Amino acid sequence: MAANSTLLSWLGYDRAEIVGKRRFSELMTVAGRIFYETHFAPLLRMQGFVHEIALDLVRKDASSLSVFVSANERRTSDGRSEAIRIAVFQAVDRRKYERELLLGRRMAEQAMRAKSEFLAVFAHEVRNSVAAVGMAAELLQHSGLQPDADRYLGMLRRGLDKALALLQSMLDFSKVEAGKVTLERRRFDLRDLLLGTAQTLEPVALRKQLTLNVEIDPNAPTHLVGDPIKLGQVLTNLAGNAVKFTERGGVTLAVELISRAPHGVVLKFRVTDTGIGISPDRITRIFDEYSQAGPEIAERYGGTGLGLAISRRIIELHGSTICVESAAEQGSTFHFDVTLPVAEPATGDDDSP
Amino acid sequence: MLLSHGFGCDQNMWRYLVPAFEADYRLVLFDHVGAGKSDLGAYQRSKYDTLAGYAQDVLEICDALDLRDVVFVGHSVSAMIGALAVCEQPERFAHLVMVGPSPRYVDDENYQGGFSRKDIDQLLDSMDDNYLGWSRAMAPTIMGNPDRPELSEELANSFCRTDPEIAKHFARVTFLSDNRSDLARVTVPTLVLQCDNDVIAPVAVGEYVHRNLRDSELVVLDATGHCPNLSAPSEVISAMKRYLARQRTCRKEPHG
Repeated sequence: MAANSTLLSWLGYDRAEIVGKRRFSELMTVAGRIFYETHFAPLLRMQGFVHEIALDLVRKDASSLSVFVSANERRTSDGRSEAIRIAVFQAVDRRKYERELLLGRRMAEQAMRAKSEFLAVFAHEVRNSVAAVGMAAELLQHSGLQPDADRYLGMLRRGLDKALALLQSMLDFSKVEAGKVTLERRRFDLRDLLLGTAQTLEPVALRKQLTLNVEIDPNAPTHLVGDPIKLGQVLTNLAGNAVKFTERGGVTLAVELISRAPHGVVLKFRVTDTGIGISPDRITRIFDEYSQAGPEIAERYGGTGLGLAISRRIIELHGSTICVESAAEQGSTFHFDVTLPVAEPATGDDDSP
Repeated sequence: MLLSHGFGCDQNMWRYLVPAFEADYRLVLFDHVGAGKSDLGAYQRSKYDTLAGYAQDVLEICDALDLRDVVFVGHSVSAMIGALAVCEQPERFAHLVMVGPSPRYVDDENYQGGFSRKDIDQLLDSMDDNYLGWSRAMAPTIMGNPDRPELSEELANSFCRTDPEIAKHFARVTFLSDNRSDLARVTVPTLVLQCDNDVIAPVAVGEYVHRNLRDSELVVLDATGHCPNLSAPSEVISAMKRYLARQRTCRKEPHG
C-alpha cells in the first residue's frame, strides 16, 4: 500500500515501515480483518466501491483507532483490479456515540420486553382468581336468594364480567404483541361472519334504538379461506365501538369485492356509524394501546382502549392496515382491505348469493 | 450444481462462476436465511444455533427441487454446511467442492484454526459497529461490469446485506463451530480449494481438511484473500472443471 502523511501520523508509523511493505488489511485488528475479508473485499469486488465501513485500525503502539473507510476500485478494461483508493476517516467520538446509542436501544427493548412479559403473567394470574370469584358468585346466585341479595349479586357479577373482559383483552394484546399469534387457514362463510357479528350486537343496538345494517356485495364469493375467529374479533371490536359511541341513527357493517386475482380476492370490510365521531387531533392516537379519544370518553363509555390496538395488529398480520375517516359529531367509518383465497366448492354448498 | 455462499455475502458472490457452468449443469443458487433477499421471518434462533440448521435448509432445497447427483459448492462456512448435509443424505450428492473451508476457527490443542477465542469475541463485538451504517454502504447502482448488462437496479443494495442481529448470530455460530469430527464421515469425493494467502482459512487448515476427508483433492490457488470465486474466478473455474472432468472419467458407474 501507499499512504499519505496524515494516515501515517494517525497510526504512528514511518513511511518506510508501511509504504510498499504492508497490506492495508494488516493494519486492522483481527476482527477487522475477518470483516474485511468476508464483507468489505467481496463488496468492493462486486460493486467497485464501498462506502463508510466501520473498522478499527491498530497503531504502531498497539492501541486501536476507530475509523470509517470508503474505497474505490479502478479496473482495467477487462475488469481486473488495477488500484484501490481508500479514504480513511477518524471516527473515535462518533463510534463511541454509536456504540452508546446501540446499547441504550438494546436496554430499552429489553426493558419493554420484560415489562410485557410481566404484565402477561400478572394478568393471567389475576384473571384466574377473578374467574374463580365469578364462578362462586354464579353459584351463590342460583342458591335461592332474597330479591335484594339477588339484585346486589347481579351487580357484583356484572362487575366481575367487566373485570374478566378487561383481563382477557390484556392477555390477548400481550399475545399479539409478543408475536405469538398466527393466522389460521380455514374455510369459512363470509355471510355467516358478518351476520354473526351483527347478531351479537343486536341486543345493545335494540336497547339504544339504533339500526343495524349488513351489506354484503353480491359479487363477493361466499366461501373463503382465512381466520374467521380473528376477523370476527376485529369486526366485533369495530362494530361494538360503533354501537357504543352512537346515540342516534345506526351502524352499517359492509363487505365489498375490490378485485380478483389468481391467488385470491381483495375484500374491503367497512364499519360505518352516525355517532359522536373523532376529532382530527385525536384520530392518529386511537390505535395506540390504552388511548381513547380523550379522558372524558373513557369515563363515559368505559373500556381499556386495547381493542383497537389488538384489531390493528390482527389486520397487520394480514398484511394490511385499518383506516378511519371521521369528524367530531359526524360519525366514523373504519375500513380495511384483506386478500383471501377463495375456497374450493364443497359438496352441499349453496353458492348462490 | 448447488452453490452456497458463506458468511458475509449472498448468492451474488457466485456471479463469475455462473456463466462457466450454466451450460453443463442445472445451477441452483440461494441465500441463506438472514442473508440477501431471504425471508427473515423464517429465522428461528434455535434452529440456526448450529450449522446443522443450515444443513437442513440445504436438504430441504434438494428435496423441494428434486435434486440428484448434486455437486455442492460451498464457500467458507458453507463448505462445512455442505459436509453436514452430505453426512445426512450421502445418496443425493455426487461431489463436494469446498472453497476456503475451515472445520474450526479457534485454535485448540494440536490444532491451528488461526484465531483465539478473544479474536472471535472482538469480531462479535465489532459487528455492532456496522449495524447502523451498513445500509449506507450498499451501492445505489451497480457499476463496473460492462459485460454484464443483466445486472440491474434490482440487485442494488442486496450484496452482503444481512439482518444485523442474524449476521451476529451467524458469525457466532460459524466462528465458534467445531466440525472436525464430521470430516471423516463425508463419503462423497471432495475438491478442496484453498487460497495461498487467506487469513480466515489458512493453508494449514486446508491441508487438515484434505487429510481428514476420506476421498479428496487439495488445490492451492495462487490467490489472496478469502473469496477466490470473486478475486480469481477463472482459476476457481479451471480447478473445478478439471476435477469434475477427471472424476467423471474415473467413475465406472454414475453416482446415486
